[in-house]
Amino acid sequence: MISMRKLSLRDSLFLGFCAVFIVVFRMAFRWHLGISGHSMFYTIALLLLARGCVSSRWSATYTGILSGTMALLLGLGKGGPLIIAKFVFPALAIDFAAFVWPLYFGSFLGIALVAALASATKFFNTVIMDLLVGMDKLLILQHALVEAAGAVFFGVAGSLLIPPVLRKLKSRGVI
Amino acid sequence: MAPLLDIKDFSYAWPGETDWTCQRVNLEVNAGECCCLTGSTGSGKSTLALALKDMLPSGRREGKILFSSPTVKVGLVLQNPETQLFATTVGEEVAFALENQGVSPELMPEIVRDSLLSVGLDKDFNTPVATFSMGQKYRVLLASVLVMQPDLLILDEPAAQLDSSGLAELRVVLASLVKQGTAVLLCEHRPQVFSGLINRQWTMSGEKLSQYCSLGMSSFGQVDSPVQGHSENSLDSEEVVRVEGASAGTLVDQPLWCDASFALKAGQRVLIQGANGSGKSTLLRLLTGLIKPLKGQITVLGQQPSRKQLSGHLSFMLQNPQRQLFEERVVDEVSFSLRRKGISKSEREARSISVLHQCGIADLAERSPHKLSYGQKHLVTLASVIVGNPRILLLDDPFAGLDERFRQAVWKTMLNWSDEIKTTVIWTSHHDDEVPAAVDVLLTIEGGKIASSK
Amino acid sequence: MPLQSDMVHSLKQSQAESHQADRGFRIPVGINLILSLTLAGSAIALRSPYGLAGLAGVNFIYFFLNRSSWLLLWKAARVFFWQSLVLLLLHYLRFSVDGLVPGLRVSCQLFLAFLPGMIFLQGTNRSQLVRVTNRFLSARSAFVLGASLHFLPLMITEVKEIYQVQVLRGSRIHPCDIFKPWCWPDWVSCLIVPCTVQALALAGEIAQAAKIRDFGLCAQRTCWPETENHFKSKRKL
Repeated sequence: MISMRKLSLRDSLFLGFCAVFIVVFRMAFRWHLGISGHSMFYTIALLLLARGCVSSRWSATYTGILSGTMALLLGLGKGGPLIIAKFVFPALAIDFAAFVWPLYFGSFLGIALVAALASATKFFNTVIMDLLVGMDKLLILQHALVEAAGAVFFGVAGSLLIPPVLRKLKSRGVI
Repeated sequence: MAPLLDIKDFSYAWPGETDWTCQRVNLEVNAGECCCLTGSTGSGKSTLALALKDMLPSGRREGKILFSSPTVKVGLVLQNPETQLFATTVGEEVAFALENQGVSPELMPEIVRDSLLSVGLDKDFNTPVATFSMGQKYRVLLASVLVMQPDLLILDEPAAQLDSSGLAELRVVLASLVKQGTAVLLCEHRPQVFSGLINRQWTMSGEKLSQYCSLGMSSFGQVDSPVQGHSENSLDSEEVVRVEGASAGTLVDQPLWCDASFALKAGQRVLIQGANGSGKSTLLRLLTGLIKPLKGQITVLGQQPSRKQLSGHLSFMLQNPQRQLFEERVVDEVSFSLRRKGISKSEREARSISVLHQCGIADLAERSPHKLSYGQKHLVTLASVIVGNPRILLLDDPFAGLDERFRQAVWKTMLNWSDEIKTTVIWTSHHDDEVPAAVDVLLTIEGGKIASSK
Repeated sequence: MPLQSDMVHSLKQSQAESHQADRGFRIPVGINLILSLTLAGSAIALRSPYGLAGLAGVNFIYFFLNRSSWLLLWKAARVFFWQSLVLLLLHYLRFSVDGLVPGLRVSCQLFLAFLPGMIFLQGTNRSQLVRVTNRFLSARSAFVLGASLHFLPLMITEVKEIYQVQVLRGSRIHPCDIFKPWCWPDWVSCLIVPCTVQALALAGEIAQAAKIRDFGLCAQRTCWPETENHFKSKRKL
């Protein structure tokens, strides 16, 4: 059973709102142009916002699980039930980075690096899938790089919104 | 017989706060009594309500809250119904507390049925809550608390969201509950709407809790000396708004209101009255150009309303206006719209300070708007939307949640702007018992129509 | 606002479905999920053209058994098209013309790995999906999930209202302002921060309202019985 007892109900609900907005933006801004990775813009931004506002060890992961479950319930994207992984892997990267380097939220460079790492998990998703279907190894690398390049670009762009947002929220005493 | 509730010298301060929010509160409530707690915003009524439900975080506290028995149950309905309705259907909603208590599903329908009947709602369990009026939704909320069989029922600002028909329904339900022996405690700015029901009333103000036996009427609308509406000759004849045969809503075959026609002049004070959900806010949004009418024609300042055209000429203040605050200083918040117009810094500050003076809050200029009281935030937001001297000022329920002091401050500012700057001030209200004499045009939305009277 | 109507339509559809009586044969959710995962796994394991062709046939039968709509096939075809384009291009660059057939095989495998999941989701009743997810979510998480979706229209209204009033105040947050870096501070200050504050406030109010009605009192929450016909009004006032 997945349970987050240490989070207050208020914090859990805020993470729920972040999760639902990840899904809402995914529905609203689907660009049917085959531009890979654009959804990382708001996914990474909202996961970072969740982690920045709720300083619990697994807040981003919890948000990722909730958004993946919502995407599952609403039948979004390809991958069926495995769509949850698309949200959880970047979230895990964000939580892991916060554990290792808690101050990264304060700087643009730090948050961009973490966003790049989180977005790059798409590389590993693609590698695993392509390995399973038996693609040529060099092609796996190229395919995964193509998929991940867009994700990293958009993920880093989305992350740059977050430091000023968190600074203002802190100065207002909200977090 | 011991009182059901006995509060002795109770004081509480929120964590991190140095000042007491409630101070030395002493009161008693007996079973089968309806009592009322009034007081200005920030006087501690809601905090006391949360204390009675044992839901306050561990701040500083003194004194005691005693119940006649350890098994006394307290039910609480908070101010905003929209954030308390969790389910889609009536049955699920009322059963929420039973689910939380681990009540067996087989027992739930009977308990839910009884609770719904006690509030006069005999509806199928699968009826969607979204189809209810605000008054019915409030009664669903009441039912969802009554399933917990409280001995003391606390209602926080019940009149804030309800129109006259909703209030009438609520009065009947409360009378019935009191007759059955439930104690009711109302935390309410406007106790006069429950006159005839209230046995005792207290007023919380600063350090004092005073008990009153009679209920005074609000002096709303009276600023020093009574203000009347403008005479026809005293107003500039320039027409600023014309609405012809307009209909509004989301569905063409089910408009909120239709065939509305009226014209408004510069400097007029216009009140839009109607029940909750009748389309008052929709009318304001049509005038801003944010939404389009389903049918008919709307002209604002001689053209079809659009954001570009109205920018700088029309200002809009939301209900719960503190949502739009974002700067670090009050003076920056107020001068924001001037900054975007390219006005110099010295002129911006001068105009902002002048507006703050007129609103009576010049002493707050350097403070953070986010650390002010509810009423102060309200005035800051009002100042920020009038600083540009708009030709039309739209206010969505500007007095909601304000106590008498801040209501008068907002009202005075509205009068000044319509008299001195010739701003057409248009505001909405769902309370049909308050039509100040200073109103020039009253637009009443009822039965899907808008009636205009002067 | 298309965003809101799209999302609300999807939510309303799920609510309407959960209140409809089931008509005709439906694969039980658990078996459906196992079928979907088995078909997806088979796509990864099978490499021969005949195997893949047979699997495609099985997927079509699965498609019809779930009574999926043709719109789903159109969505899947779009996904297949873009994916195939990238893969065929990479294979061509690596192996020239000889790479096209293996490229097509890989593309078909990936497509057949994802298709069963899409069919499963589209063909499954939402309330059944919720019950399945509730098995691996705690009572609190299930409530959070449900409440977040339930209050989404309210949250969208809040965001919309804040956006509209800030625009009227002169904030540079029109859609075209996204491409002007000097307007980005307005997006942060005038929109994102107030909306985040509002989300936190709303979360606080909802949490308080839930606790007032004893949420969190019992670790094991019971559930309001959903059978439609039992609970019509028995008494009238």
